[in-house]
Amino acid sequence: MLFAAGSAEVALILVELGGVFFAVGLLARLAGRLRISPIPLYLMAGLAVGAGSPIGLDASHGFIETGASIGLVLLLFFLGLEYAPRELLSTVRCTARAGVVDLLNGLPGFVAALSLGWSVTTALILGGVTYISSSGVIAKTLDDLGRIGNRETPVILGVLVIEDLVMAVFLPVLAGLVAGGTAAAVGLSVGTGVSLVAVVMVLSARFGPAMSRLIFNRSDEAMLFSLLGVTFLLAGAAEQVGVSAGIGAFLVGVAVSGAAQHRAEALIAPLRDLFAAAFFVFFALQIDPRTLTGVMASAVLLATISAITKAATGWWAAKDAGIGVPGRVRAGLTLVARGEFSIVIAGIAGGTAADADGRLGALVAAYVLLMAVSGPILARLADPLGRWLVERSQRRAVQDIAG
Amino acid sequence: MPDIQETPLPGVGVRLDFTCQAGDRIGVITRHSGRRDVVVYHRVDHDAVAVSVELTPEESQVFAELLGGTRVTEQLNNVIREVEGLALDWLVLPAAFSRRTIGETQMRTATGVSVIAIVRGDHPIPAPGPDDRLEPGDTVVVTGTAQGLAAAAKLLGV
Repeated sequence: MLFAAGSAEVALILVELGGVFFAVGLLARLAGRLRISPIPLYLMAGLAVGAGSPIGLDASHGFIETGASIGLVLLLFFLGLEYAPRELLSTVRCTARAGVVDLLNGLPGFVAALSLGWSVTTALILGGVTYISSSGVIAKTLDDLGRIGNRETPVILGVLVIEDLVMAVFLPVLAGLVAGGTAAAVGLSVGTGVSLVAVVMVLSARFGPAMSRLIFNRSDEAMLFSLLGVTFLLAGAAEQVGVSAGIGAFLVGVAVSGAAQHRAEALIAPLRDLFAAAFFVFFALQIDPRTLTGVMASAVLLATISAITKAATGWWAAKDAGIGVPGRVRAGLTLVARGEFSIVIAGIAGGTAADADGRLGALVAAYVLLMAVSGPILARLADPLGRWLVERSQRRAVQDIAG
Repeated sequence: MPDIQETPLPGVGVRLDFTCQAGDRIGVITRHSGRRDVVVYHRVDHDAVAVSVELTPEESQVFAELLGGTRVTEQLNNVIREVEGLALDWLVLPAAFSRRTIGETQMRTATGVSVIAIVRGDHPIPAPGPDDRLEPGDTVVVTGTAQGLAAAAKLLGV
């Protein structure tokens, strides 16, 4: 057992995990220094120790794999925690039109997958990958740049909320399609999945406060275990009925509100950081770095096109909300960032027929690497670009008057 | 009274802002964590924040006091946040209000609402009992459920 003499395996697990954690810590520091999201660095770390690499993680592979599942659950639980049910409803009403326009961002990925000769299911997955902007990276960017108070920020946040809600419905559909089977079987699993999400949404809006009161406890320990228990149970149940564990966790997060919300964030945040890192590392672990070179050109092209479509979406959404030109530029460029959710979507395909040769995973990893880094950089460029545009239109106006 | 705009920021908190007479737009972002950001908007680019100051909950209280606010409000808001369903209100008794004691209004029996303080002029009466008088022009601080408060306001003729 654990304390038996000569447990070399335990020693190996601890050393490997220690190495991984230490490396992740260094990467997080580096990310802070470079003022970028740590996600691309975690992906690179995973690539470095993954398939076809001299450094192998044999003993701790099981832990990282389990950790990845937990990471997904906690990531999405935390995302749902940030939202309150009432907020979601009012936001959807205000930003509905922008949400519809935003759907067009799925086209670059969808078309790209089909042109690469992949199946329709894979095309839907890649469409989802290019569609969804990263709430995590963007929220952090807005905070870093001090733009939380800006008038275009509610538009940005509103679009992100709608994307998360669309995903809540889309992921069960994808999971059903990836699982395959006859058209009837797929239709049934998709139908059950979607209606379940709708039902749980309504229930959490109704009974969320009651559930939050049940969970809330003065003891941190009691509350932590209640939270984890409810989240994991419901996530597992969701996975069982084909709704995807992540969405189950997201819905639980949304349901937890009131006084329990803030405490839950404080308690779960460190766990989320730990397991989320495992999630990204594990995703990249499974990718053979050699396949990256093959997909890099496609990734760059896809990144460029989907950056343009996102920027245009943000511009339109801000214009629709009555924001001025500089604000439209900021909204457009801030929405470009992709990150954790794209990995979540691609993860559904991992190891299944939808990603048989591993090229989808490689393409998504390369794509997210590019977007998670360039997104915040573009957001930073929004102010100078906005000013340039304003000056240009003023110069034109002067010329019109003079000429 | 300036026109205060309330904008929810999903996942962050809520923003309240207004345009002051001088022409500047200022606001406060209250985050879920309790942290406040005081924001002043750009004069030319009306959508962008020019200055943002981050305040802890304690610093917000101090700032409010510097502007002439009161600590009591903040502490009371904390109470309300902890107890879901509890509401608090300040009701000003109209000139037509007939002098009675709190017990005589039967407010607790009829609406479930309790009077926790009376402010008469500058003179506060905390935790009044059923024999304490209510006079026209008083400000009564009442607490109860939202429906109870509405009924109590009706009862007092506010």
